[in-house]
Amino acid sequence: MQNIRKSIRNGTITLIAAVVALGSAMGTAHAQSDENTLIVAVSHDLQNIDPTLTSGNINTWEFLTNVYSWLIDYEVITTDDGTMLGDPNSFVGSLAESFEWSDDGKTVTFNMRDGVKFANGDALTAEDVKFTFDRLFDQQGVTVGNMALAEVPTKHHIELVDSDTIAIHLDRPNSLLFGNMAQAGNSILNPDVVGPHMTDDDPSAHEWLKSDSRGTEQGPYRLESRDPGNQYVLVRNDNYFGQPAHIERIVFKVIPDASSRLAQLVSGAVDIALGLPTIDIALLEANPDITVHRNTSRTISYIGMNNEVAPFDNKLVRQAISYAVPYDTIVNDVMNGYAIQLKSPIPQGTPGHTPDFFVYEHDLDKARALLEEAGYPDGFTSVFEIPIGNQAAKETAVFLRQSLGEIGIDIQIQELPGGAYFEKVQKHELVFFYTDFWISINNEPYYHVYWKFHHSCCNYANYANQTVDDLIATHTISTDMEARDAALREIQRIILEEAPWVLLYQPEHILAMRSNVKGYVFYSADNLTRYHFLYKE
Amino acid sequence: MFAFIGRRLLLLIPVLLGVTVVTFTLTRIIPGNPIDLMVSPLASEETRARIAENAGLNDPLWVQYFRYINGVVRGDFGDSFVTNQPVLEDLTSRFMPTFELTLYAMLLAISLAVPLGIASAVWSGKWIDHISRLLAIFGVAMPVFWVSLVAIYVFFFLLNWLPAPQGRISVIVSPPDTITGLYTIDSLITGNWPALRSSVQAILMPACVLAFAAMAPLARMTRASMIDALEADYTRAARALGLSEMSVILRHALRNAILPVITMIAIVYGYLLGGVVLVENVFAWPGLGRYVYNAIASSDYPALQGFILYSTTVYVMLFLLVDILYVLLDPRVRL
Repeated sequence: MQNIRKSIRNGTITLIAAVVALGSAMGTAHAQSDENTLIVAVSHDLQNIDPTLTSGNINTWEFLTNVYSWLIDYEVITTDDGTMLGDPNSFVGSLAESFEWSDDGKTVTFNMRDGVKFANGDALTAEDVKFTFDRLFDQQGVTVGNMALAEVPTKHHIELVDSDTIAIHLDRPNSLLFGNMAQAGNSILNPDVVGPHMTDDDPSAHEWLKSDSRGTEQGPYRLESRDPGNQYVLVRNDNYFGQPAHIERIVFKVIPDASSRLAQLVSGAVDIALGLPTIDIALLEANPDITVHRNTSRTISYIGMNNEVAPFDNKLVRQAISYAVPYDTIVNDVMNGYAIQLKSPIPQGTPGHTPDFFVYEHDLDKARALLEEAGYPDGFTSVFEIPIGNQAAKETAVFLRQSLGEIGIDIQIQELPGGAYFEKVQKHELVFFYTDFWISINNEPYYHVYWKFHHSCCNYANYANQTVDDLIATHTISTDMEARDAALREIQRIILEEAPWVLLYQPEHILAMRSNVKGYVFYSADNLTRYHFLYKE
Repeated sequence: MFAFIGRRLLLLIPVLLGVTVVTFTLTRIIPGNPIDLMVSPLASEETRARIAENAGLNDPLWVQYFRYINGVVRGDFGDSFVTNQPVLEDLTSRFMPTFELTLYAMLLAISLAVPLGIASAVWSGKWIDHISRLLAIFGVAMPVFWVSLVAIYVFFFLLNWLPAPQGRISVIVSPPDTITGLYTIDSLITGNWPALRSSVQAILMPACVLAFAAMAPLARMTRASMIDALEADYTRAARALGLSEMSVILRHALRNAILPVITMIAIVYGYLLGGVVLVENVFAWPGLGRYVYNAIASSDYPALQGFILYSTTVYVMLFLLVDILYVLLDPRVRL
């Protein structure tokens, strides 16, 4: 008994001591970063970082864009109010100091910049550019398709003129090449670093490049370390040829929970939080410690209707649905006002966009009449498919269900897991579905209509119209700008009349950061942040 | 004893084989094509076909299965489609964070739940019993991710007593040198005080949240088991012999009552490994839970199969440990 009492007393004392020790350790729980370190809360870890064969994850693209450079880049312009912007349609030399087009528009010659080095100190020459494009074409990855679209179909179209000069030959003159080249797929690689990883089984060194970049970077930052699932760290590349980055280290911390990212931004534990729900943005805008950068993006959200599957193969049904959708509600209540209504499959901000043919508005009587004319006076039932975990999709689905219910169309909402959703999207198997991930990186209207309404890859709604096909085929790479623009108007007129999609909205690209972080430059071409512009006050 | 352990370990082989067959088939029946997550939608059909070929996704199922088993036997669980790292490496690097978190949570839960269970049995129907019941109801009824969010809101956001939920250690503190893989232990061994302080602060909240959820079943089981023991004949005999009440409770009743509690601890630990998914997600804890969550969302077959094999092994080992503990604690059980 005596022993038990003693041990209980000892235990209690130990416990109290432990609690006191912990309590005193908690005094200064907040650890804010200094001006040389930026902490960015991201929702996902990096995936495959092979620049020519990467997957769609935004963080991965942003990473590649900050560690690699390309021959040419978007020009940074200053607007009248002093805001700096990356112009999606104007290009300047980057790793190449300058470039000239031949008179026939079929050759562009790049003069390499003097003294450019890779992050490991190796000199970067035109030979390295040739090596990069040879690998790119041999690998037959994603970037090849973009080059082929710009009439550069083989590696023999890339000519090494001398160690300072590289020429790219086009089969036909067109305006797509630079837009396709100003992105991570065209990152120039270091043969001395990548070469040793090239084997007979893996001639493109994909196995190495998919998870590493150290030594082959030439961008403003380089990869310092990766702790998979936890964080990845970028550090300033002292061998960068351009203006050195202001902030020395950037820690990308994977914080999967959105409310946790929000709380940490508000408290100052992180400097920037990516991927916050729009419902929280209004709150942040009222907070003087937080700066919210809002820019209308060219990402398009729409409801696809499979044009080959009944009843959506009936144009009148598609039009009826287009009249039944509560557009304002979706912009104001789903997106909380952080979006603009999409009025053409070519988004506002892209050359050639016109809202003129968008006749649809929330008009249930008209929708009912069209549905009756289509032969469905009592409506029909269908399934509406959305990706799981997408809040905007879910809320859109709810409003859609209510509106369609009023005209007799009864829809069931089905949430598909990420993998299953993307598989069905890619196979064009979805019938009535929500999609919101499409952006045309090079801000080129033909690129847009080509992939979405002509080419088999991403025409998820299986839209087919011979006139549209012919117009796209004739004008995609034409240099006769007037004829191109006229054709583009006609394409938009036909598509809006036939209503293969219900056009929803263009979301704003929103980036919330602590107010002491300055210098943000928005690139509407790809919405990706270039961190070397940022600095802390 | 050793023969028993050997037999049980041998039994693990058919169990694991069975598990691989089931998971292998299941992961391939459910819809979702990993290729779509591996390459951009703009990739040509040829590229997609080549990647599928390289990943061996075009072969018949049984060929894929045998290739997989062949690798597993040699310690090769394949590469994760998402992280692009070998699955075994991924699992190993994420095991220790989860183990550290669940270990502290479990220790905390046991050290609170068992005394509470005993007290509520001894003073059955009194205030301590009611409090214990109330705690148990809350522990079971409140979703663990919700408790996590409330805890973060109160202790980090409002009071600022605990650091931001950024994982195992503050972003600006370097982790300790790896000895055991447990940050708290490693920093203690190496005398790395800033790391110790930061890692203890970081683990406190998630461990308490998990412990709160785990306490409920343990305390209730201890109480039920103790009440039976306190009413048993041997307890009456002990009392009749004039032993002190403390001795009756702790040396006679508890020793008999503790056996089902130990089984319960093993079950709760298994349950904890499930609940940890949500807690890891909220606290940005780079452990197995988050890894498997991502693997499910992205049809990452090799990662999923690797995880299921791993957790099966953990469960089997856990119950083997329980059986061994039974032998040590209960002289009536012989192996």
